[in-house]
Amino acid sequence: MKYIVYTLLAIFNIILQTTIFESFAIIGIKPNTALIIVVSVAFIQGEADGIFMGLMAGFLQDTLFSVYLGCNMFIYALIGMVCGYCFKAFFKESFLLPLAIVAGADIFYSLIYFTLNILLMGYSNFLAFLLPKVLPELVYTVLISAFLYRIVYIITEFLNNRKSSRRRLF
Amino acid sequence: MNFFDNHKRIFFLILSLICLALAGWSTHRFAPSFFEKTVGTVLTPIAGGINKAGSFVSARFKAITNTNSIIDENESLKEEIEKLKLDNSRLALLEQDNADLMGLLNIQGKYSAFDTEGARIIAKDPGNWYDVFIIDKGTNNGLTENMAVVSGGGLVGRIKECGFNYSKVVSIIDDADAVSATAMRTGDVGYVKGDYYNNGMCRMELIDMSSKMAEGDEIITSGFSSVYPEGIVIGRVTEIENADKTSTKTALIAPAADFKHLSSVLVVKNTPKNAEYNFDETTETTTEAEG
Repeated sequence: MKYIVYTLLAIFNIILQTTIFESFAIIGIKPNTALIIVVSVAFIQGEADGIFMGLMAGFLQDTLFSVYLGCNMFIYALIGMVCGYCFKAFFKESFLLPLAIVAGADIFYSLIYFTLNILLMGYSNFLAFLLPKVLPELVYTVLISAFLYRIVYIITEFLNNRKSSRRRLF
Repeated sequence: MNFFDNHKRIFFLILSLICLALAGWSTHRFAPSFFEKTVGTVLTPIAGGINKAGSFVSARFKAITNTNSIIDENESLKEEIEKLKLDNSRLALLEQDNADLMGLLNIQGKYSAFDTEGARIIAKDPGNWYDVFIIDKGTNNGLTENMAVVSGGGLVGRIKECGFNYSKVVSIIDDADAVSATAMRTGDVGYVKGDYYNNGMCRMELIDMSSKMAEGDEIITSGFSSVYPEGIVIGRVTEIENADKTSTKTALIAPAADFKHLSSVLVVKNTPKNAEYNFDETTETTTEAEG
């Protein structure tokens, strides 16, 4: 049940992200909603779920858009795992903390993506991309995540209550 | 799912290796695998529908907010149509003339009319680095891999993968791809790639040091490519610099196609004359040469 919902969430996200969110682009920069969902699920539900969510989101993005396969799958799964470590340590209802984690994950994503793709093409100057691409994406993604984290939180809460699983939020 | 929870690190390691293997395997393929095709075939009609709804709403919204500018635009467009009609009739005469003269000289039509197919862009790459998008036509409309894609009179890119009802297009402002190009006025040859440092611009590299190219020169596709037909406009030169290390010149090019506002494109179905060469070999050697 849980994993079906994650898969549907990933499909829903990729369709919206590549069609409707394109028209919300500011100065050509789009928010990375797939990253927000992966981070949120990992943060709320733990490592294993984070890895699964990351794999699903990355797989769809790779299949439909990438020039070669596997890159996004790997990065999102890694982010899912790393953010899953925060699972036990932090309080889930906090407002600012998820935003900080999303910000960290977005920088992490940009850095790894840059290293695996752009750097290997011969563009060595990361700082040249900082102002036009990385920072606007960071700000936009963090702003959007304030809403999306709530939505993911509601979905996971519904899942946990329904299954009366290992962890209750209240 | 306890087993998965307990062994997640091992799972992660195995999955990472699978990702790496996939990346290595997929860099040299030319057709999407069965699995990818299935995902694409199922998801793209949904994306197409949602995109249609979204663009309908945003078009209505724009129509409400800028009615005045639309009326002005309509006027100017009508004027332009008149001008184009005039030009068209003149050009038809010229073409007729040209055909007659060609017949006299016994030359077969070098620039035969392009056979095109219109397509709509239904989804764009979610990331901010690459410029890959999906169009709503595929092998069911007679498209195949490596067909050139144009819009607004300028080259947009080429079809990278072709599924049943969708195609993945890689644009020329993406550094992952290179186009063999020539300057219309001076005839200098080079190749055009995307330039990530200048967003939305292209770079033409390996131009001969003695070339007399200047700002404003028009760049078109050369006839040397096995992918792009000859004579498609790429863009105009905005800046020329000397690359000292290789003693060649590099030109910065503003593409003729408007990449910020792409919504529909034309796919050129003609294949260039060099296309009969073994495709896999030619592309592999060019990618190696371009490094």
